[in-house]
Amino acid sequence: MDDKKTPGSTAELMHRVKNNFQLVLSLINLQNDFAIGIEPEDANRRLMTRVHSIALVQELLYLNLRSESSGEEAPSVGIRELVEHLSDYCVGIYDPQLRRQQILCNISAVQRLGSHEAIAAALIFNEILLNCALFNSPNPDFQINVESRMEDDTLSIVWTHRNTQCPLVNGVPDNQGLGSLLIENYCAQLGGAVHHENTAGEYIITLKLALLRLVTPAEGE
Amino acid sequence: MEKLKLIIIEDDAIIGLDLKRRLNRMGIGQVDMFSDARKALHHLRDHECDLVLMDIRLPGEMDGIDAAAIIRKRYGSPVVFVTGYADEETLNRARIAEPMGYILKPFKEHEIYATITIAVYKSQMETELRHQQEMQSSILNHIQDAIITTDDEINIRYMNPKAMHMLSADEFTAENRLSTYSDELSDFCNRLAGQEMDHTQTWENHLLNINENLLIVNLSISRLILSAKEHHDRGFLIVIHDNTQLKTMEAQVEFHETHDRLTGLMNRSEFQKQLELELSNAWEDRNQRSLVYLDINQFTLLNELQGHLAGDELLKFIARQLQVSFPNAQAISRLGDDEFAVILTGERHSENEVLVQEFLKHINYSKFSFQGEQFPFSLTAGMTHFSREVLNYHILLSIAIDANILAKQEGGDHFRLLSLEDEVFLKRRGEMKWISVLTEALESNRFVLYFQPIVPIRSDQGLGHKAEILIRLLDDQGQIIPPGQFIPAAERYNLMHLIDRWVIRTLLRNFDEAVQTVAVENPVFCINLSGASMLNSDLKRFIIEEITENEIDPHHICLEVTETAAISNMTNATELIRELREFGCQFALDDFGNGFSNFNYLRYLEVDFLKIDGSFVRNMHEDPISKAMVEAIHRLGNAVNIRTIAEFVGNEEILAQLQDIGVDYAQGFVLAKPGPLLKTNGKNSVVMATGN
Repeated sequence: MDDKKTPGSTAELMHRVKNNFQLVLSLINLQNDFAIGIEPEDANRRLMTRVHSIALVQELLYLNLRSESSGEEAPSVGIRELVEHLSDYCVGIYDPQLRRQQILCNISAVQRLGSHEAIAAALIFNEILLNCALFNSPNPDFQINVESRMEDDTLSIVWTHRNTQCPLVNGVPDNQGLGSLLIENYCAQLGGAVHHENTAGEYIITLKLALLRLVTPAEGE
Repeated sequence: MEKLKLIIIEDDAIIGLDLKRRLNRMGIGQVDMFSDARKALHHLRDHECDLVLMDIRLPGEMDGIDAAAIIRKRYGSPVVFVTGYADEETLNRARIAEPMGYILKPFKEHEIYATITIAVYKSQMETELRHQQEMQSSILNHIQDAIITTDDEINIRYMNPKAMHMLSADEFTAENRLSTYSDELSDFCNRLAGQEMDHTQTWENHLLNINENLLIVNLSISRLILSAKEHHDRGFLIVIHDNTQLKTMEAQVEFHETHDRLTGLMNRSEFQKQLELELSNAWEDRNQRSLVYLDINQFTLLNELQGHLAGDELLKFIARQLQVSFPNAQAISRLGDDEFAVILTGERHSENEVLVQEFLKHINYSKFSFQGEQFPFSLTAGMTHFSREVLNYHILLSIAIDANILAKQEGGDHFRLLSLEDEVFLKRRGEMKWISVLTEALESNRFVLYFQPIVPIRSDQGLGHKAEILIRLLDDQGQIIPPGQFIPAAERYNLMHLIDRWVIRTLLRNFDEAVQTVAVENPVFCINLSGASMLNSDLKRFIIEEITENEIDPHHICLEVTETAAISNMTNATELIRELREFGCQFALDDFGNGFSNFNYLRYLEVDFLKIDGSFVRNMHEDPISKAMVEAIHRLGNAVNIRTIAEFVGNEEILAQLQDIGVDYAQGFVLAKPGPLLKTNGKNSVVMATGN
């Protein structure tokens, strides 16, 4: 970041900080509402990952702004780098551990998000990876494959969980908690929707996001 | 709080969700959430909303401040901003949207609760205040009184539309100073300046000069404190109710009621009042009073030869000449067709005589011009002086009329003076004897009741039978004197109202015998009321008392008033008919169609029957115009739901034609001749006190 910031951009920066703190406070408040039946240690662990997701976006924005090759006027975050970094963080959260090799990311490096959308996407991805770590870490055969597909004006990010199943009721996971709420609401904020499906030995989450929300139109994808 | 409907517009789904859950916890059940302004505005089109919680930074072209301004203006919903922005520039911008509150992120729950509670209360108060202001504004805009407020220096602060109209001011050209429009109003305010607060002064029917226009107004000016905040801010509240139109109309109506439309002179009834007044005041000063009765010689001939337009112009010409020639006259009137009357006052009777004779000389030598042609004409005048012996204005007028008749008979200078004592008058007017004859007849019960049946001629209507009550007089030898001989005298000497009362009382006191005589089931008796009776304010009470006292169903009584009498005394007639019909009596309009071409007055005279004038019925089998008139009157009756009666039905041919037309009742010789109703005036004879 340039050391000589204008008063306007400083105000904008302060606003983002305040907004992020508000988001953190809201997450804490919501978690209190949804904490019934969850051990305090686990609840704290989940909250830490969510706050970390927000912090990660800020970190990536900062790195991208400093990068000489960036050349963008407004900082942005690549979807692939977001998934990779979140996957790295997620590994080792629960014991026995989910191994990093069990997470395969096949997403194009072109697709990028602005700061506001990146926080929403980070919180969605974090919830999916957190569930993988929580429910599938003892399973050595488990594997998750993340890939993206362009369809008309929609970007689909497909999370294929191999050798596992998720109990679904009316098309949504049973035992809905704050995680599900975050995924659904943020998908809606990004102009899309979430779709759950169990096939033979696989549980697939498809996130459909509006292309309009992307910073770089994905040409040739 | 639970009834509140809130909207959250927040671009972060989780912050919005958190806010919504917090609001739900506060007891607010209905909270809708939107991530951008357009969706929220779309929602507001069809949904009510008590409060909007609005983020300022929103995705899309419209930010929260723009959206809030639209919501306030278009939907009137209060907006509270929930934002991280706290810089001066944003706050200044936000002010334009008139937010009800501003919550900074990160927010605190108690802060949200307090802000929402205050914002909703403030908004409700604002709405209530706005409704009150709208209502007050609407009242002030629509009220028919002009309302003006001024400060203590009499500078206008407010005018409602009526006031602006009255002052011919508009919002662009309105002058500040009240004196610009009316010095008088300004002076009134100045005079009140020293008074205590709340002091009000009123003026009724005040002639007020506004912008050089004279208005008749009810005016009230109050000394007031104009603003509760600023107690030194004093001024005046002026309320003006414009009565000009009403008063002008009242004056016009009054003028038309008392004056002849064609000439503008006093009409007959008003002249009679004046004559009566002058007669009662005649001996209170030294002036000598005279009454002159004039008519135009061979006026009918002029009408026939030159048309009514010429006749009307001549009447107007003479009216002007009378006004010019007798400027000091107490009253000048057109009594009827070509009849005029003047009340003169002078130091001596002879002066009055000379004045009239000079007038006649002058006018009888002049010619009347109409449409380029000149016509000779002349007037004849009869004159009588007021004397202590003449106590009744009817008699005074009769003497003047007789003087006129004598003048015509004698020829010469068209002028004749006559007094009560005049031997010639007494000889010529055998009628004078009628005063004593009629008075005596009333006192000694020498009148006799006759009746003539009124028969329903439409079998399909189930109409009841009626009988018209007639009157005869017995002379010294017990011979019947027909009404044509004594009724004119009774009318002339103002005795008709006594005769009417004798008829009513005699019939009602012998009602059972009368019912037996007419020999029909449930008969209705039709009693004639004279014009003089109509003028008597006591008549209604008399009729009701007689009917009640004799325990008779008022539906058996139908009162007949002539069209002419009703029109001449429209106010009395309308009231009498309305009140007696409410009591249960019926009413018939007699001689209908005679003399008036405009039947508009039927709207005001609520009668049950129209008696078609006999002059039409009598000739209808020979004269198509008469027949057409009968048809027209019947159709008119039908249109206003009034039954029709044809009188003077003299033969079978007329009766058949009436049945063809559909007339409801017939009366006449072909059906039944008049016959005695009671045997020697019944068991219960009636003696009337005449006051003589």
